[in-house]
Amino acid sequence: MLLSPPQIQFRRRLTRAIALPIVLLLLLSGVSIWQITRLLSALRWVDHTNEVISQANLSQKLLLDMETGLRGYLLTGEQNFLEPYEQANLQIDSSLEQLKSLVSDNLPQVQRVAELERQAQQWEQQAVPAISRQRGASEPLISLERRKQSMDQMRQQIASFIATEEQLRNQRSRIAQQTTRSVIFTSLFLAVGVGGVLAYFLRRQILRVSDTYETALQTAQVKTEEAQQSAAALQQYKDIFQFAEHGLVVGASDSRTLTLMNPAFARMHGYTVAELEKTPILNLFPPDRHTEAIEFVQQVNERGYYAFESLHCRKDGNVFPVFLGGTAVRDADGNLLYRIVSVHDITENKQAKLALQRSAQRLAALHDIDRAILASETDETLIGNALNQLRQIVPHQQAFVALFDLQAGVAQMIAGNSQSGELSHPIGTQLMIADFAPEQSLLSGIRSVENLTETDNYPPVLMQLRANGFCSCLCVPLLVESVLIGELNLAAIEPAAFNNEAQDIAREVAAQLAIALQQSRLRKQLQTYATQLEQRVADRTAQLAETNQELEAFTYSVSHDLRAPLRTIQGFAKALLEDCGEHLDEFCRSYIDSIIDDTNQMNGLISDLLAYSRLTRAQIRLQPTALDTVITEALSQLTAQITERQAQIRVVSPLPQVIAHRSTLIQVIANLISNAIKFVAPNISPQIDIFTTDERQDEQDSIRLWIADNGIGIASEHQERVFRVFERLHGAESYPGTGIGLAIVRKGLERMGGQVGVESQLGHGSRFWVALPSAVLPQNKHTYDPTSPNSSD
Amino acid sequence: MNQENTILLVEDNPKDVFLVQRALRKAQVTSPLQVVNDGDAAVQYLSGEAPYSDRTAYPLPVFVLLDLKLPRRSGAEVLRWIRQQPHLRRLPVVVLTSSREYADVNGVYDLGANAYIVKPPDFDEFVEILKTLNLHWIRYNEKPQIDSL
Repeated sequence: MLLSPPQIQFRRRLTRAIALPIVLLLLLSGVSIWQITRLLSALRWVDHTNEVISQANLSQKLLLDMETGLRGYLLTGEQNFLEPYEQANLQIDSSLEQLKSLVSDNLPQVQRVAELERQAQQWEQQAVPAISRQRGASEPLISLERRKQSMDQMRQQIASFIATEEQLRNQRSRIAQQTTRSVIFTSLFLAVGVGGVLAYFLRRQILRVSDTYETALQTAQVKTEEAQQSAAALQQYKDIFQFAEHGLVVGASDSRTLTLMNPAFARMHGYTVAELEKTPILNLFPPDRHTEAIEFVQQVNERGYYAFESLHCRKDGNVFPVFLGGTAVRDADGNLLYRIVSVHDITENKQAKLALQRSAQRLAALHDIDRAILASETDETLIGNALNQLRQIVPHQQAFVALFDLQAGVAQMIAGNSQSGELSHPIGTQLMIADFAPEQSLLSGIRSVENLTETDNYPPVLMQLRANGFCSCLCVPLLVESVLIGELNLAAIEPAAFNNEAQDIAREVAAQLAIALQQSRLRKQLQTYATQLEQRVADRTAQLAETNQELEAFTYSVSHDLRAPLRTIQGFAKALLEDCGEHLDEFCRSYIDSIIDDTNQMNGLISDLLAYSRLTRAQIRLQPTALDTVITEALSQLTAQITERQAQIRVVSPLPQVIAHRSTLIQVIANLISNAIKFVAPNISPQIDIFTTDERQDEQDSIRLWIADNGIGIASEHQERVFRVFERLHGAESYPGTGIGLAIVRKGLERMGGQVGVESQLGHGSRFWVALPSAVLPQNKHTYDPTSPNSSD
Repeated sequence: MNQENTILLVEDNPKDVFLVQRALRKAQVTSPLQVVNDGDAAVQYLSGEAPYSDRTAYPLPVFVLLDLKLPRRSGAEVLRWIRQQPHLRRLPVVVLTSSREYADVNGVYDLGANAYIVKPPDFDEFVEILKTLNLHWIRYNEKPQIDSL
């Protein structure tokens, strides 16, 4: 079995808590056993040494017995004195042998014992002859001394042996004492150490266990609180279910009867909860909805959630619309537990939706009617389209529109439609307006007749409707600014077919129709006017073009045909003068000269006239024009005249740019300068100043170019006349001219949108001016001239 | 006579013809002058039809002096015809007329006129013009190749 990490940890902790003390105690026992073994060993060595000492003492006593017994025997010769000797003699060898084996681990002592054995044997060898001598026989002193000497050596030997062993015993006792002490200390130390470690370890474990316990306690507390909360939440859910104004029903997965539902659900159906329990679900659906109800349950099962609209039955048998939303609830393995179905009574929604739909439909229909009206070209299609659309919102069997001519008192059927295909009055029928209604009631607004069979007191049109089988009708006047222009008539077979809504719609359609008809009339009128106007303009334009062409042909002829003879006259006159001049008198030659002069004069006149007429007709294009170059050009044209009259001309340059037609402007200025040179008193050399002034008028900057002379001047009463064609103030003798020059000036300025004028006093010179729009833009003062020094740099 | 430098004058007014001849004389132009009096004659001359089929007597001109106002076929029509003839279309044509109308000037240039001269009212000036024409078209101008039929 797998363990969760905390469990593993807990087990590990437990294992450590048990194992560690055991290991420590085992260690402690081991050490103690080892120490005790050491102590016992030390004590054993002490005992052993004691045993060796006692054995040595025993051997010494035996030796003593032997000597004593021998001596007694020797002294007495009595056998019983010899007895200790014999007994000791029997034991001494084994005693010494035993001693030797006891100290086998100590080589010096072994040697000592061996020495002792040798000496004992030596002594015995000396003793045997002594015994065998006959009692009373005295023994030599020497052998007695030798024996004694040998015995002393043995005694000394044993004494030193015992002294050595005692020394060894003392040493070993000391070691045993030390070992005892060390055992006591070591045991004490180990016991304290192990006790400390165990105490620390146990404390830690206990603390940990207590922590775990506290955590577990807290978790348990939290769980308890949660349980309390969920109990409260459960109560809330119960309340929601019980008190919701929302039909809720819960069905077991296999159940086909109602088991659990809230009061709102029962109330909605007119039952109590108790009444509905165990009722088959299908009982709540009308019979024709059973199939879709079963389908609904299947859909919920398949999809998890499914909603649809259906009908439910109340206890009283009434049927009402519902919105059902079903949810399938499943467990973790996907097994269906139960279904929750929420049920809304959507009666009000349905009604509002229907009303909205109707309203939208009506709006759309009215809009369609408007569109149909706008799209129609003739009154008939216009009305026809409107009526077709109207039929879709207001049910009726026949509709027609009649237009009235109030002055003539007649009405005409314009358009209509009928379910039967035949109108009560065919289209095109002429009727009297009075046939529709008495005049005073025509204007009074919509008239609805609910039942045509009630009385016989109806106007002829309505009587005709009745005759055609219609039972109710609606007569809507078509009014344009309170003027009656016709009537819309709707008729139905059933009585009272037109409710208030139908009347409203009919009124709106009639209003639209009236406006459209009026507009159509106005449009037609406007079209007629426009056509007439266009025709008139075309006629006039053609006339003008013709006149213009004639004029052009005329001037062309003038230029060609009037000039041709003039040229030949001059040519022949010159030929005459050259070829025959020698044969003629001086005065005859002067005649020819005057012919030539007149042809020149005539030619100038024709040139000027042509220039004038050309100026009138020619297309000219205005553009920025530098006055400096215009003046230069004009002066160069007049070079001959200037030289001849020695005229002094001062130009205040630089001159600005103006908007003008260059060649026309040159002609204009040349004419003015020419006049300034010409109209000067004899013997006075002409002085002419040319300069400009800036002007602002009518929101526009303009340039006024002045040409001031020292000429004869013009009387103020003549100052306007000089600009007219052929107006001359002087005879040809004093100041010859064609009388067209200033007329050309004025015409030219007219064409260029400029002005010309003169300031003068008789005898004090004249100041002619021409005003033209400035070519400098007022905002930035830049000129249009691309060749100006600024722009070329 | 230098037949190669023949000038063809198309002019209906005999007085103008006389003055042109006189002016040429005064201008000391030695080139021979051929004169036709209307547009049709000009076309006949240039195409070598009778009565101008003899190219020795009526050689192709070095340039044409063409009046615009002509009987039968106008100067403009003659000019258009010349420009439509493959072998004549390079022939220099100098329009010589009384009219200065802008439409005329532009119109005949559009048709392919080489020059447009308004007959001056002053005879002496006319002499100067003919001198210039002589210098320009006969003396200095490099002549185009005009194919005879």
